[in-house]
Amino acid sequence: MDPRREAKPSPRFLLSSVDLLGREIDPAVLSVAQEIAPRAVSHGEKLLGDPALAISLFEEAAATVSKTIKEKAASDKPRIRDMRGYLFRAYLRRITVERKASLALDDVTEEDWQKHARQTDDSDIERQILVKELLETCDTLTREILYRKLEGCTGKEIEKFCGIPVNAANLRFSKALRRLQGAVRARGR
Amino acid sequence: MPLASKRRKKTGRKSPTEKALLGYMKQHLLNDFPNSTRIGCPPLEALERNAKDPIHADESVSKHVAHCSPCYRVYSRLLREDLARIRQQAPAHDSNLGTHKKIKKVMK
Repeated sequence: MDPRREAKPSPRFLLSSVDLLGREIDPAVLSVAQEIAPRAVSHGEKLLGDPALAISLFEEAAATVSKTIKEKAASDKPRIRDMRGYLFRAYLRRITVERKASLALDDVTEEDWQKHARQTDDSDIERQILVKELLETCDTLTREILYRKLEGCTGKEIEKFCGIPVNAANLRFSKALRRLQGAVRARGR
Repeated sequence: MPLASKRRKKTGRKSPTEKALLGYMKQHLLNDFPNSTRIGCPPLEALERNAKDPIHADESVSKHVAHCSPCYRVYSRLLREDLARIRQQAPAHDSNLGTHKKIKKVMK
């Protein structure tokens, strides 16, 4: 074999030790995550179509697994035997949730919102409660992102305003939207 | 393949759902929380601080804005002013960046 054409080791995947929601990833989980990241994230990218979102969700899954490990240790439950498999399954589940949520959000039409608005026209209090619920339950930064989205800010502009990556801002925003959508659906029944 | 066809066009258009929801929220924030006596309203400086530095925003002020239409109107105006300033500064810088990227691509 030509020595010049010797295969180079692939660059190590750099994952953050904290996910976008600010949860820490356990060092043991992080090292396993680094190992499986290249294949797992490229698989996630195929399913989601967005590499940044794929990495963010992978970090979220790693943070969730870290939390589970801590909880298991605290309650004397049996340890996770196959950390790689467990983390990968957690990641796949997180991807499924994300895909279902985006599909559900796309399914809701303008008419649904207008229908809901008509239904609640009689009850101003109910509308206030919905908005209050959303704005009270989200953290300060998410609320500030929402205020800026209401003024028509794009992801990049929010990045300039708030100093957080576009992807992180969009993730927070879409989660808030989903929560409100859930509330609208629940009350519309 | 021509350079233009490689890139996907980003129209920046919001989905109807998102657009409708944002309109719905804005209307409620603007009208559904009248506070004519301005009970518990923070000073203008506090709103300005939150508008300038959202990362270190004061939580109580941020929450109050969500429950007080007069304060929301003021805050909304402050944000629009900041947004207009950013948009005035942005075009020259961004277009330069785009040109640099295009040049790099072509040089490859």
